[in-house]
Amino acid sequence: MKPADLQALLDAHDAEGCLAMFKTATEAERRALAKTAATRLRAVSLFQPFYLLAQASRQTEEQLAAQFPLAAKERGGLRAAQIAVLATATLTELRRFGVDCYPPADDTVAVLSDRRPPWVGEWAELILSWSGPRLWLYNVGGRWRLVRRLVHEGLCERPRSSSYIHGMIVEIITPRASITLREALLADPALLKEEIWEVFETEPTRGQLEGLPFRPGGSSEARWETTLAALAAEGRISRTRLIDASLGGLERDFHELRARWFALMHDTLEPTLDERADRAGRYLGLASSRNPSTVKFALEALAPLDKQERLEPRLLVDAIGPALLARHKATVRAALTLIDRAARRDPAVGSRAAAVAVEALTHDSPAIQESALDLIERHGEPADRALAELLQSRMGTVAASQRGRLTAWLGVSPASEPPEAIDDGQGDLIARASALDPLIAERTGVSAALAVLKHGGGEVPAVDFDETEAPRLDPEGLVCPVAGLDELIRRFSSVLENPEDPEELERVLDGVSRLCDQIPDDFAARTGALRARAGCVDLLTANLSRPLCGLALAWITGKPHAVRYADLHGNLVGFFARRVLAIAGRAALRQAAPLLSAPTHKGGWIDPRVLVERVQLWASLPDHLDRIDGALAILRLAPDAGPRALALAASADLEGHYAAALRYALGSDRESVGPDARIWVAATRARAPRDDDPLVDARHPGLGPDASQAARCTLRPGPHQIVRTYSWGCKLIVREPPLPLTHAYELPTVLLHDERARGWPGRWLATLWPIGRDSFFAAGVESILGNETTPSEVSFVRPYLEPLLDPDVPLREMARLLLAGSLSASAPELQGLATDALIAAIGDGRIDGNRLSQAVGRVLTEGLAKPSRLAKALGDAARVSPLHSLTVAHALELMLCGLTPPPRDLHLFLELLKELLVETGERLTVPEAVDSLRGLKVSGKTAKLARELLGLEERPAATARRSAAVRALTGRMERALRWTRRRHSPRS
Amino acid sequence: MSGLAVSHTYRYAFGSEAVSRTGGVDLRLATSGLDAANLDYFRGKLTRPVRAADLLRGLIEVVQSRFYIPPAMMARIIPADPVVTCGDDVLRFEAFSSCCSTYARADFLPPALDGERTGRGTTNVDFNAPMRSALARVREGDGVGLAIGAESVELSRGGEAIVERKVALPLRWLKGFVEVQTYQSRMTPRFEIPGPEALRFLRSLPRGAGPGSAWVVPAGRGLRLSQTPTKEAVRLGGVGRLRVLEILARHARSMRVHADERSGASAWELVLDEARFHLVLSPDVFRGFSGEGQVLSSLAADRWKEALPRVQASLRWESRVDSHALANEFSLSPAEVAAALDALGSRGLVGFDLAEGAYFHRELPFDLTMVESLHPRLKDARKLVAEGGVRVVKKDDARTEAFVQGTGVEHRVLITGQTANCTCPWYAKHNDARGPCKHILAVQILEGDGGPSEETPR
Repeated sequence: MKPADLQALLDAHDAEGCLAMFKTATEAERRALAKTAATRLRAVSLFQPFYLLAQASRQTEEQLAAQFPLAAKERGGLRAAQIAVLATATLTELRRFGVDCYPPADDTVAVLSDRRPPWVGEWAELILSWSGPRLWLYNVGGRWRLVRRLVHEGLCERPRSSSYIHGMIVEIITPRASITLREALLADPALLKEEIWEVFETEPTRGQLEGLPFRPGGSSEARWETTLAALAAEGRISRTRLIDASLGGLERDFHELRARWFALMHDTLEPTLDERADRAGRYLGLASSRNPSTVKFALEALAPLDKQERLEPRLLVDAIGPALLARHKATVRAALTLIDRAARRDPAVGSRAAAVAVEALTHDSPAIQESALDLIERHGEPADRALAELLQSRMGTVAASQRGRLTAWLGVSPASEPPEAIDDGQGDLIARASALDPLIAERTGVSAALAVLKHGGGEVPAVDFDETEAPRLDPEGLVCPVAGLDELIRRFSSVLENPEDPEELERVLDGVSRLCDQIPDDFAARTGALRARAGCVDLLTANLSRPLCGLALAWITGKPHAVRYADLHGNLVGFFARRVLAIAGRAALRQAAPLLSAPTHKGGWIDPRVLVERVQLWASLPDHLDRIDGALAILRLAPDAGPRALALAASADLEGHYAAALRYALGSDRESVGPDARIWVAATRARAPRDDDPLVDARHPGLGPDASQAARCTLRPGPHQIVRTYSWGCKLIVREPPLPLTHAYELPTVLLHDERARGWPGRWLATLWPIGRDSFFAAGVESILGNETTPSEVSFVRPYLEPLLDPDVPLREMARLLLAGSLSASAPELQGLATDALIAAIGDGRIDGNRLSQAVGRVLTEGLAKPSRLAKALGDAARVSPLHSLTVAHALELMLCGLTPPPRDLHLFLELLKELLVETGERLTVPEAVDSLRGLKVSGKTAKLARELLGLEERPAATARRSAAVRALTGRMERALRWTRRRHSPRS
Repeated sequence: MSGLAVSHTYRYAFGSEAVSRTGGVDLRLATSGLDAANLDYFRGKLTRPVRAADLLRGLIEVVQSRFYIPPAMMARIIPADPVVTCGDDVLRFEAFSSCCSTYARADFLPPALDGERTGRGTTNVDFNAPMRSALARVREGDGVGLAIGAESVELSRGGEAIVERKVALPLRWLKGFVEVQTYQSRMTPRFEIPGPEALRFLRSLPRGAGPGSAWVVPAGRGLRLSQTPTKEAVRLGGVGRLRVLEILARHARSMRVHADERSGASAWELVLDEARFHLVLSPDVFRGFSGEGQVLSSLAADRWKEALPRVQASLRWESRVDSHALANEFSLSPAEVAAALDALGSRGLVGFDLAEGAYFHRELPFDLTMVESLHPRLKDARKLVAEGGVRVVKKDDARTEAFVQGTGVEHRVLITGQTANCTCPWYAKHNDARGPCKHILAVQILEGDGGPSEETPR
């Protein structure tokens, strides 16, 4: 037996020959051939995965042979090589080969039977633990069946790992098997004695959780629970043991997916009342399970016992407390019912039952708390000191609607509200507000807040201001330009890895633009690492990183370098790349100049005075202005009136089309519209972002929304459907003027309206046209509303919501729709961000109850919001302060007006409204809302809530109203002070 | 298991078990190690059995969790057992998640236990499946005995085989376990809310939250989750990790939140009448405590070197190491003692108790000799120095400029005063948020002003 003999067999693809060759070989002989076998298998399997992958895509034999000649040639030799390796390798070598060394099952059994190595058991565990796509490629199924055969052949002990049990569950029958699960189990009776019981005792790992199908549907013959129950009914396995095993499984607190199957198994057995009664203690124990479904199962199992009074009341009351902490209302309600019935049956446990029921007072639902209080009042005694202390300790979490009832029962006076927001500085606040410049006070809503405060407080109407009024040049928001080469290299390296921060990105672009002529002797050494990194463009996945690589290489090498943007042409990332290309061109030629569009302030704003200086500098250079950069610079002009006027004056002597457009953007009426649409569209959008411009329209007509004509965006009438994934072309927004069939790819304001052209440039998008927020938010509505954003999409759409937090961004229709719709977003991150934005907007006075109600009503009636999520987010926002409570309550009250037909899940909003009104001591005050509630044709809990709302009486609660007004004044004062500070901002 | 690992053998004289008896159950926890010192820790009973059982279940949940699974990686759970420390008056159980991002500790104070402390020390404790099942079945009113170590050995079935389990503990897991103590020592208390509010907050956490960051801010009497960073907010990466506390919060009198602003790590402390439960979270769920390199900087300073042997020799299983007393005793400055304790913490010889604001003595029962010497960054940096991969081109009092060999390229390192930067992609991505990169470390080692020495006292 020589290597050459084996080589000959392998060359001939002779698997049978290999089997025969190793049949009687000694271990030493085998090891002598190991290298030959391994070398062969390695060669054969080198291209095998690619071959198999191509084969899976249904290529013909000819195509496969042409594409993978070696793999095709050696295909028949794979089996022989695998047999040779299995017959010669050590366990460590086999482990290294992995799935490649796995011959068909018959061959494996034959080889191992002949060889009988001591490690068969370990190898069996190894192959059961395999996972990954190669299994699919190599069609490695039936590993458990193979292991089972090895066990039957006496080649190894039965493996003890969870992989073995999992293997049995999923592999004992295959989807196309000719036998049923029952037949398979009966054919291997040892499984019924041992393995099936271990299903209940073996903790599955994450990848093994879905092995036991628990979902309804599917063939009952393939289902484990029905098969086992049938075998138990026939007496082939112990029914009692099966009942106990399923309970035992539940008691182990395994993952919920597995626990749900244990519960299903138990229910499939349909235990009799006696059987349940014998296990009452175990069901009670399951009430403290970590798995909500197990708690629900336990309560359902206990209910029939309770009905037949076969539960020991004391035991029940002692054990069931943890179930009251469940999130699901139905579970808590079921637990309360059981406790109540136990206390009724045995009054001696009444006080204990009342104490246990206190746990339910931490539930968010006032209805649950009400049920808990019913129970406490029924079975507890206010004089019970321990109970009273317990209740007092929970008072903070009791819903406002129940708090009065609880304090009355306890016989204590309601705790006075903490004097929130009415602090010692209130007088000072009012004095400072009164001393403000009257114009500023009026424009920032301070006057309105002061007036409301003087009349006792309450909600303050929202502030109306235009984005062109809000000064933006905050000295605290200055963007410091890159100072030197070292800083530029460091920042560029950082931006390549993470281009998310738009200010940082722009700082780098500006740095290269200004410093590209600084080439010290050690330039190559200092930039070597950056050059190497920029060369790995394919490793950088962020959209904006790839064009930056080209810029880095052009700057470092001094040679024109491709900026990757061809594939991005036609969208806003392409627009960014086109701009980068221009900088790269200059950088390669070492033509340093300031970047016109580099922001001077956070948010993408440019001080107009600085832009004029940059243009003046450019006028002295031999190069031509890049019009893309120039257009972007104009779009970023800050609206601050003073700096604009100064800039206009300073630009009077500038010559050329660009200077004329710049002056036009700054308010000049003496310019004639030039030929470059990019510049003039930018100028008109910067001059008056929400107005049509007949002058520019006459010269550049038909370019689409936000070109010469301002875009008017409206929500397309619904009802719409919320779909699971983002759907292109769902067109939630109707635009006027419409998008032209072909539009210029260098007009970013127009591209913003084309969902396919927007791309995903991240936060940079928000700095593109910072004054044009209506169109930006309309784009956000299209991207977020109407679909369930998946976790992987969150980072792409999140930038649309972030500007809502800016207190100087007015919230008009599109912004409010985006806000209201996102409050019910499926992704918690988006819902949380929208809640933050709502809290901020109420606090700084950009939204009031009236506007919020319109937006919330609209998204509900158009089918763009889920009521339960929306109600939760509104509740979260309302909890922040009395101002937020009053605003949300007012919005909900206004929502009730004209409810025909009433929205789905109306009770959720009514419940929240009731709590907020009770909390703030208010009642319904809008007559239309009262009429609407009275006219509602509803029943059940909605009707009950409507009656309770109509029955609310106003309580003198000046504290809440006053607190609200103080809070509103504080938010408006912050704006007034900010605007004042910015108006006196020196030149950047 | 990828990466470096330390082989560790759990040797239990018997498997932990729950033995039913009239009126209750006895929990007999087996401890690892067969030498006499490790045999006997506590015997007695739990005064609040349900609460104690829930805390231990919370601990086990952390041990069995991998809160983040990197792409293309199996959800493998490291088969590590919790660690028990029996000190002066506090019985502590510690655990660390498989993903190295979450540390949990349950401290049982004197009122929680009615019994006799028969030993002092630290060892592993076996929480096998039957024990977990028994803990789930503990009811209020049950008389629950607890024995850790000796008594159970005495009761164990004579000649029965020892339970022995050999596991490979990844080095990063061990490193994280020891380094988390240093993180805690830097944390400051931020919020404290009543127990019912804590329960409400924990219950309000979104179930489907991704691994991203959120911020926790005060809202009314409680807390709420925000998506906006503010000055007062505490950063929370991987919200789902906090759900461990949900089932425990019902027992809590209050919940305290501590945070380390520099790293973004946070700690959540449930305060019970008779116990405390700490959950310490790394800045992000995908960032384990081991990979942060914060200890490198701590070790770089050498003011602990003189104090360390004396401080270490003085440890006597105290539940609270009084650093002021130690400073007085050894005539050291408080800063030197603190630095020495930090260094001991990074060697697994003391743990940090946030509630007390002080270290406690315990010695992790693992072979930690490799942990520091095989810190990948430190090791790589030393290799760079040894192979002459560092070229200092400029050096004066104000700054050092050097080129350090990278993969096919030289990285430029600039050290100016307290700041250092490098042109490598790792530094570009993280700056100094995760400690210095290997290139900076290499320059520091070459310059002799920060590289931790090879021989570190233990």
